[in-house]
Amino acid sequence: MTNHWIDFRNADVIMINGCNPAENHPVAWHWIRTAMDRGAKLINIDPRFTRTSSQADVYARIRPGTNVAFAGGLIDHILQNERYQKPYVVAYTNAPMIVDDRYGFTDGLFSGYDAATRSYANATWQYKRNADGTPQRDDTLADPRTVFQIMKRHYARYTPEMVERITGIPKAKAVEIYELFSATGRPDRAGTVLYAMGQTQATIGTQNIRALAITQLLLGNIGIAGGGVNALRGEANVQGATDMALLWQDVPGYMGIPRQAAHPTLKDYLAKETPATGYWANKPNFFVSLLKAWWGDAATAANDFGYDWLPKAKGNYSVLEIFDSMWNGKIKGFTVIGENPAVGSPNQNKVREAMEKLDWLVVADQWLTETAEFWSAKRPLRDTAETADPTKIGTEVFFLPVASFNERAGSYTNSGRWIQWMEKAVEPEGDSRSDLWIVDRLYKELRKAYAGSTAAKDRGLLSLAWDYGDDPSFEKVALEINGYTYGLREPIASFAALRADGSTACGNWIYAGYFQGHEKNRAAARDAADPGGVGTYAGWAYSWPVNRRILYNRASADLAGKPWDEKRKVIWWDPQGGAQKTGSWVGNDVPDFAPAKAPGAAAKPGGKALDALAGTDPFIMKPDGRGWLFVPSGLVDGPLPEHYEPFESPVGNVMSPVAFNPVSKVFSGAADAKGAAGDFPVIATTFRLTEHYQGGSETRNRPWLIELQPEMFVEMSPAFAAKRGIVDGDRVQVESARGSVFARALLTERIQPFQVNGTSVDAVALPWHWGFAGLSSGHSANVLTASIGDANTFIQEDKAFLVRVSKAGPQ
Amino acid sequence: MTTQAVLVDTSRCIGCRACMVACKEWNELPAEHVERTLPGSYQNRDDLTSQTWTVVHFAEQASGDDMRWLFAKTQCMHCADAACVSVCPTGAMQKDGTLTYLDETKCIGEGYCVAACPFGAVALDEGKGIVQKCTLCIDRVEHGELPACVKACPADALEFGDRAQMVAVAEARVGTLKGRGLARARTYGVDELGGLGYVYVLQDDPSVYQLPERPSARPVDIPVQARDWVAGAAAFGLGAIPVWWVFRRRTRLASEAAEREGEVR
Amino acid sequence: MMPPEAFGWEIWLYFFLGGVAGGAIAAASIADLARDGRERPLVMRATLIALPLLALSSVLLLWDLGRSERFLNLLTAWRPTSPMWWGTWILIATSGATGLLLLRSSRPAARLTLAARALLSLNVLAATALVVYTGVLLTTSSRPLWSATPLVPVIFALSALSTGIAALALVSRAGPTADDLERADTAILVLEGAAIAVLLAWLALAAGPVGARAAGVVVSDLLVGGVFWIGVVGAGLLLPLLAVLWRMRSLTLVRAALVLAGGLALRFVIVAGGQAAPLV
Repeated sequence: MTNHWIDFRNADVIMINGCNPAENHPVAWHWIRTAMDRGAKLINIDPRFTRTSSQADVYARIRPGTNVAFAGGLIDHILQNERYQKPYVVAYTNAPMIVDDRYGFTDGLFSGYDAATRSYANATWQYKRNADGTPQRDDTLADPRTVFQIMKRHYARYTPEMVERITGIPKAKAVEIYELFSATGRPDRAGTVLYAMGQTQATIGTQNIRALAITQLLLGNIGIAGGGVNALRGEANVQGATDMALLWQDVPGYMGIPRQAAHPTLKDYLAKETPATGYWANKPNFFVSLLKAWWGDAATAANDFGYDWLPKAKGNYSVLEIFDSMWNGKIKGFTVIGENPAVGSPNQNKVREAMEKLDWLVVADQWLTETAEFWSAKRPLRDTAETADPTKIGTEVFFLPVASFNERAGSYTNSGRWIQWMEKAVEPEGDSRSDLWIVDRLYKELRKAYAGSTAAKDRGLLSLAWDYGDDPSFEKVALEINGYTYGLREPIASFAALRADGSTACGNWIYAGYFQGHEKNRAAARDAADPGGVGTYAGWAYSWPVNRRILYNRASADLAGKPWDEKRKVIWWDPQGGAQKTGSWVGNDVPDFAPAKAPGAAAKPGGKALDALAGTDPFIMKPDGRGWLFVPSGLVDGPLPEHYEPFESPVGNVMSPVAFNPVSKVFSGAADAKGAAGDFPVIATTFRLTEHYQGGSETRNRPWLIELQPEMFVEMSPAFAAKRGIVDGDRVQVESARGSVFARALLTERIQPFQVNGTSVDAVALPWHWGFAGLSSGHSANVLTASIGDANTFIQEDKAFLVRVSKAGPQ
Repeated sequence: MTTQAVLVDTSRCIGCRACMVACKEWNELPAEHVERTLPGSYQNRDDLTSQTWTVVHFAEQASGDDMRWLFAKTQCMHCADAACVSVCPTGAMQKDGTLTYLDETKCIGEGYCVAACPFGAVALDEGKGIVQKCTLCIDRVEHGELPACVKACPADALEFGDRAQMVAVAEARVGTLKGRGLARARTYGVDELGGLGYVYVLQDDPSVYQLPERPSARPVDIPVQARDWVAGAAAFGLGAIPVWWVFRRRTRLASEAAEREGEVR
Repeated sequence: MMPPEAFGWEIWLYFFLGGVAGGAIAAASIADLARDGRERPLVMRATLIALPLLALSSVLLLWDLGRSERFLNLLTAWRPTSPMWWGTWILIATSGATGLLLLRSSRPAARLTLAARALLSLNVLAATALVVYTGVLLTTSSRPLWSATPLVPVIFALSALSTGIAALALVSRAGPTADDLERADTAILVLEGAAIAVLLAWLALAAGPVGARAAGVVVSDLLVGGVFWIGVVGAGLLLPLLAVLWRMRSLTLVRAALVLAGGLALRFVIVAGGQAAPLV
């Protein structure tokens, strides 16, 4: 999130689109309730009417996979009706920047597309530059080549009529929502957007979020209290995991993984990946400190700090790729820690059959999950009444019991980037051990196994600086993540102290300052004072970076440094502030800005890093200090969001001839059949319940929760069921091109057909928590989904696919 | 003496059922297996039992394009005019201020309170041989803690405090809802049965939430109880008339015959 | 909202047995009072029927308790608002009063002493209380079938008399007493039938949807309705009345058995049926 949970209470309008907080984040719901009690309006957009919808002031039913169309209509509404916060847009975003003359968008494709490789070259998306390298601008926004005008033309195509044709939302309802939300474009109004898998789990997932970001930048809602683009993460510490490089293409702290072809040496990496301007210009400090943390004494300037030991990416290693390789017999061994891909990954028949080809599998978990038992007779086989035969599966399976979350200490990073330390409450049961102990032991055993080796390839493994104690200490790990000066081993208070010369080590630069030793564990701080009244609670836990609660909070003040909104002020410029009394940013949050840089400060010509940015450039991580409405680089599938249909769709794309994301990789093996609308005429989507959790092992083994939601079901409207002779409670079969599941029919009016381009298209929805293991078992919705995902993040497109439904006999 | 009540603002309830699990957890009640949830609903059962002391009702209302999903938690209502207390033959069920309290050492498990409760909130536990119901978490409240359900609710739908205060809040909230156009919004439990220990804010008629519109006050209505005695006794008397009449007739006939016989002689 | 079950088979069986005992004692006592002591043998037969039934009733009620060992709690409490509390004392008192009847000779007399009149009247009163309290116990509840009208005590009263008389007929030789019993029973069955009809009509028409649902269970539920039509109406009312119309004297025993079966069926229908309808 750019903001944080408590901040929701500051909003005037909350748009909940693509998430369901009442059901899936009920504890955080309190802050939404607080906002509502203060008069905030709640907008909910969802393919189903959910428990969140029951609280909304306005509800719109949206066809899954059409979020860009809806957001595009909102952007168009904002631009046409001039609801944008003009001074903010002109000064703080790249709206005035002038784009390359060669930029174009025709027939659904941006300039630079190569059909053969299904990829874009982004040369034509760059700014036009002055001689001194600065981007050309027109602050009147009139030049047709400005980002502003490009956007205006692009989104003029998303008229309310078009929005209705694509999303199924009646245009009057869409406009009602656009009016309500765009009213937060005023400086004294705040609107926040909440999203989760409903927006991200799509082949255009990243562009869905981009559309939200554009909306919020236009309305001046970024950097302010009660605003932001806010992802509701799905697990207690997935934000922490993401920060530590959950995604294969990152290293900790959101730096890119070195790639074999582009970055053969450290110099290549630092040169190519370090922008000259903006705060990322400091990347070498972070990256080298990371290497130093990993290789300690063995990392020196002479050996590029161990860079050569680091495995380089030679391809794509997303979950989709992993299972495809595994299915093709190319992966022999597989270690799974705290995840249940045999329920959570898409195209389950492919996943489970792929695992049969493994020589060995290690699963570390609290429960015997479907992944741990993929080989057992509990697992139903594809499209038959048979189950897996263990005697025919050669995989050697190891199961390591893992201690529960309260059986060891550690930090959790919530969706708001707050790092909160938790102590150990009880001893682990039996032989179970913490993940830390397991990984530590694994390394120590590997080190022993390779001890005598002189091979070059083993040097990296053997040279790792690994000393967390015989019984590995969470605090030692935390200290390494926090960072320290290498000589004196003193914890650092901020990443500003990091250097690229080996004098500092830091496991994750964005965490710097959170754990400076047992006595200065800022993640354990629990001061509940909120002096400013905007809910920043600076004394409670530690939010990265350097305890900033609201990112880009410079944007909460105008060009003179005065808050746009006195009622919700975050930071402001005090000309007498600071130790030297020469002026500093003060207020209710740590400034996400150079603390002593005056609002009127000019950018230094030829300046590096933050010196290249002016006192009115809030987006310090960007080379131009602006919020990017138009993205010249960094995303593989376009500088602007554009509507494409999901991979499996009942209709063609009415916006352009391009059916689905032209960059998303399509797997076309035998396990990757694509369903045609003629055979599979029903739109399907997946969802989560309050009562069950993710892959289900934690909750489908808990009798109290099973009592509330005892079995796998599929939601459908009564009219849909009647057409197929289905009554409530019937066992039904739901099939896609890739497999079928059996579930109990739950008839409800909360699911309705979608009006798509004038035609009515039926829809069903399935919870995805069930699997064949556990006290309460059932079929997995992900048997139906496809191995395809977002072009940037590769997250699976689980929210829109095609099925057919029929009544089945009793089991 | 307990003076507090629980405010249940169903307009804020999100149907998450943390209250149901918290109740089970605190009171160490086992899960009861259900085959499936109610037809077309997430609601898992429509009754309270000796092992399920609170249940959340789910009601979907669809009309045209409008959709509403209403939720309400029900449990023992801790009525002021408690039917269970009135009919309890051993005095095990008692009132203590707002609390309706079961003395588990006195209960003989005959189940009369089960029949008397207008909300179906008391049930016999076969294993324990006594009845069980919501205790208003008196074991927590007497130590200054909130009832488990109130503590667990993440949606600020449950509050616990002085009853008069809860009633005032409920009435204010109903005013707000009516102001938003919910004409049928109302309180429930303010005056019913002398006033309930759970005071509700409802967005619609009680029957939508499976609550009785006018919960039966029969068990506490002593004059009516007396009337039933009279009706029964009168019926018994009515039925006795034929018995008396036919036997008396034989007596009469016999004595008339004897008289005539005496006359003849 | 389905209510939990309060009363099981022990209760409707007890209502039946208590009804037979009370009805037999009351009918025999009234007969003896009407015949100035000439029905003393009938009273003795009633006593020998009632006392074991009352003893069995006590066992049943104790058995029904979840905590039988705590039954004394019923007697150490002061609960005058509870019909069940009254019933405990009534059961004890009735057993005592009936027991006193054993002290009388079983030979018919030609006149009644004042003491005898008092004892017989006391037994009639006690029997009335025993039978009627079970009805009031049910009306003092929240089950619509029981509590929406005052008819349950009325029906129980009439059914107790008809089944009590039927039990007496089973143990009486053919003769004038048996004939009188049968005549009285016929009248009572008519009243009983009328009372049941009034109950159902009242529930269906004047007790709201909840009352109508309760009546619906009685007449159309698979089990309860089946027992109602076959047991209560068929065996308990129609066949015995038809037998009278057709003057089948030889079927006296069969007739009595049918009435008893009907009475048992009636208690089942009322108790089980009352708990099979939703509260809301």
